[in-house]
Amino acid sequence: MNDLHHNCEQWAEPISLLAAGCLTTDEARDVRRHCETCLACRERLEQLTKLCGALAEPQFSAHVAEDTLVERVMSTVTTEKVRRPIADTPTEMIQPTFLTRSRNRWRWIMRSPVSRIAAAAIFVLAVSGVAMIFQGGGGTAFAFDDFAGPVLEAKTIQCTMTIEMKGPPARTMTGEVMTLDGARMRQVTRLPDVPTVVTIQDFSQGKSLILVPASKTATVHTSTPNRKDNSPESGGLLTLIQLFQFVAEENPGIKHESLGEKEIEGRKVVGFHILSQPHDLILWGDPMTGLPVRVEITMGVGGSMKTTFSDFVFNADLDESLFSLEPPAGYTVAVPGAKADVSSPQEEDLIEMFREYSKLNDDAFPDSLDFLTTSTIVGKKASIRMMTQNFWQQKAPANSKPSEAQKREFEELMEDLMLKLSEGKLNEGEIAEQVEEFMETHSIDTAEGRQARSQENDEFGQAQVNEILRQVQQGLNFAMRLPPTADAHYVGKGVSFGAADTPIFWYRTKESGKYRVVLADLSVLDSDTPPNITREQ
Amino acid sequence: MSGENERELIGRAQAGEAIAFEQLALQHAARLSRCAMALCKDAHWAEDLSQETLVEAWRCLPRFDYRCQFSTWLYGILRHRFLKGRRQQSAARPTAPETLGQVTCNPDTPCRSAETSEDATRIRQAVASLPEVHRLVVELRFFAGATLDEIAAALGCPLGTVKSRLHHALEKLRLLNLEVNLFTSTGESRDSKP
Repeated sequence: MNDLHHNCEQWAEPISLLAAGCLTTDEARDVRRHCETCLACRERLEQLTKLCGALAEPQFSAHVAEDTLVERVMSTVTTEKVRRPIADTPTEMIQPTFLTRSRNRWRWIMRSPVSRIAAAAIFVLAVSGVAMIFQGGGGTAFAFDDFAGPVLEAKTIQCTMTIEMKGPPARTMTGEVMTLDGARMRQVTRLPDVPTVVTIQDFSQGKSLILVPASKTATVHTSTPNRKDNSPESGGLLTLIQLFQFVAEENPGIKHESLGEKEIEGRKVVGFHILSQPHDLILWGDPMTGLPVRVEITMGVGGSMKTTFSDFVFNADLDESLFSLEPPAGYTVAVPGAKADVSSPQEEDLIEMFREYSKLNDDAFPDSLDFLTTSTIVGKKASIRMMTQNFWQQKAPANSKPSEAQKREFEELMEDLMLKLSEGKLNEGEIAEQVEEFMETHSIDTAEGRQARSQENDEFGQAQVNEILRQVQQGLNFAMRLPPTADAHYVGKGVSFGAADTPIFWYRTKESGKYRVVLADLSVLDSDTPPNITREQ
Repeated sequence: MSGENERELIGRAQAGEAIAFEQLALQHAARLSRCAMALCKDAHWAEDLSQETLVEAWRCLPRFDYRCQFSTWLYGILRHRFLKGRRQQSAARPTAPETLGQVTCNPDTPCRSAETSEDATRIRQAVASLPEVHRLVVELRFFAGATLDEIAAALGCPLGTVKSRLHHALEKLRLLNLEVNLFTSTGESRDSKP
C-alpha cells in the first residue's frame, strides 16, 4: 500500500527516520523542505510524528532499577573474580557449548542430500551450456562457540570468498557468497578468463541453479540421496558452517590451538587453529563483537586449495528473489546434467578419473590434481569431443567421412568458438554461421546433411559430458579428502598412460597402514613403503 | 554527559579506576537494560544480561579504542552475551511471550498508567504484532531509546538495514493506525487521517 506520489518514494524512508528522531540536523532540514512543498509527504510526516510521539511515551519504557544493577556490577568487578585486562583465555573461548538450536537446524539440513555436494566451490564453465560442478571434498569441524554461534544462528550471512589454487597453474578465484536461513545459498564466482558464474542452491529441496550471465545459460541440478558417512562435506561457505557445526557437536578427532592475537585491518583479533582431517581451518575473530573477521580453510593434497572468507555481514535483509531457483527470463535452460553423486568417493573413482583424463588428453595425466584446473580441462575436452562426434554423425553426411586433419581442424574451431561463447563474444546464431562456413569451405554440406540438420537436436552430448565430469570430480574428491596422515603424493605430470612400472599416485590407508600405489597403467599395488620417486609435483 | 566527560571517564576506567566505571555504568545502565529487555523478552534474563554486559565491559575496557561510541560498543557486547546466553539456555529457559512494553513493573512506576491506558494497550499490541525484526528495532528505538548505531550493534546488522527495518516497521504501524485507529482515547479518529 502506498499513498505517496511516485516521485516521493525516495523521501519515504527519510520521513520515517525524521519522525523517529534519527536524522542529523542537515538531513532533517532537507526532508522538511521537501514536505513544505508536498502535501502527501507532509501528511505522512505528521502521522508518523504522532505515532512516534506515542511510542516514545515513558509509559512504554520498562522501569529499570539502574542503581541496583550498577551496585551489583560494581560489587562483582571490584572482587578478585573479575580481573583486568581481560584474560584472552583461548582455552575457554574455544570450548564448545551445546548449540542446541543451530545443531538441530543443521541436523535437519544435513539430511538433505544436496548438502553433501552443494556447498563446494561450485563453478560452471560456460561451454555450450555444459555445467561443471566443482565439489569440494572432505569433512571437518572445530569449535569456538563465541564465533561459531553468530554464524550458525544468523538468518543471513554475506561475505567475500577467495579460493587460491596452487595448480599448476596457480589460480585465484574470487567471489561473494550469501546464505539465507542456513539452507539457501547464492554464490557468485569469478576467475580470470572464465565467465562469471552464479550458483544458487536450496539444500532443503536438493536443487541448485547455475547461471552464466555472459552466455545467459541456466542449468538446474538435483542430487541423489546416497549418503554413506556423517562427516561434513564440500566447500564454499557451507563448509565453513558445517565445520562450525561439526565442532559444536564435539565430534572426536578435533584439535584446537590458540593462535593468540594479531591485527587485521586495524582490528585486534584472536585466532584459533582447528585441526580436523582433512581440513585445516584458521579463524580470526573480533573478541569485542564475537564475530568472525576472517576464516581460512586449507585442503587438498599438499594443501593445494586455500579458501578465505572475509568481510562478513550478518543478518542484513536479503531479498528472497536472490535465492530463486527459477531460471531468469531470457536464459536458455540447458539440459540437466547427471544427478550429482553424493556418495563418498572411493579409490576406484580416482582411477576412473585418471582413465577419463588420459583418454581425453592423448594419454597424458593431469599436471596436478588441482580440482578447478583438472575439471576445466576435462570439461572443455569432453565437450569438444562430444560436439565433434555429434557434428560428424548428425550434420555431415555419412558419405563424407572426415579425415583426421578435418577432425582436428574442426576441434580447433570448436575450441575457439566455445571460448568466445563463454566470454559472451559470440551468440549461438553466429556460431551456427561459422559452422556453416566450415562446412562450405570443406565441401561437406550436402542435401542429406541439410535434411539431417533439420531434424537434429542441439544437445551435443551434454549428458555424456556431464557424466564424464561427474566421474572426474568424484575422483578428484577422493584425493582431496585424504587426510595429511595419508601421506598422499601425486607424480603424474609428464607421465603417459600405460607404463606399468611408473607410479603416479600413492597414499597410505588408514585401515592397513600400507601404501596403495597407482601405476601409470592404472593398476594398483600394495606396498609397505612409499615409492622412491623424486619427481614429485 | 558530554563527550569529553565520557572520554575522560573511559580513560580513567581503562586505567583501572572503578569509580569512573561506575559513573559510566550509571549513565548507560537504564538504556542498556531496556535494550536487554527487548532482546530477551524476559525480565529476569534481561537483568542478568545487563549485569553480564557491564561486567564484561569492565573486563574488556582496556581494549576499547574509540573507533565507535562507547554505547555502541556496549551494545555489541550485549548482543554477544545475548546470543551466547540464548544458545546455552534455549532448552532450559522458556521465552516469555511479553514484549518490552508489557514488562511487569512496580505499581509506582509509569507502567501502571500503561496498564490502564487503552491507547497504550493498542500500541503495545500493534508493536507486538510486527514481524520480529521490525518489532525489535521499534522497541530498541522507542522503548529502549537506542540510537541507530546502537541498534545495529545490538542486532549485529548493518546500519542501512536498521534504517530500512525501522522505516518499514513505522510504515506498518502508520497504516495500521489508519485502519484501526490506535489513538481512540486521545481523540484521534480515522476522520483525521487522509
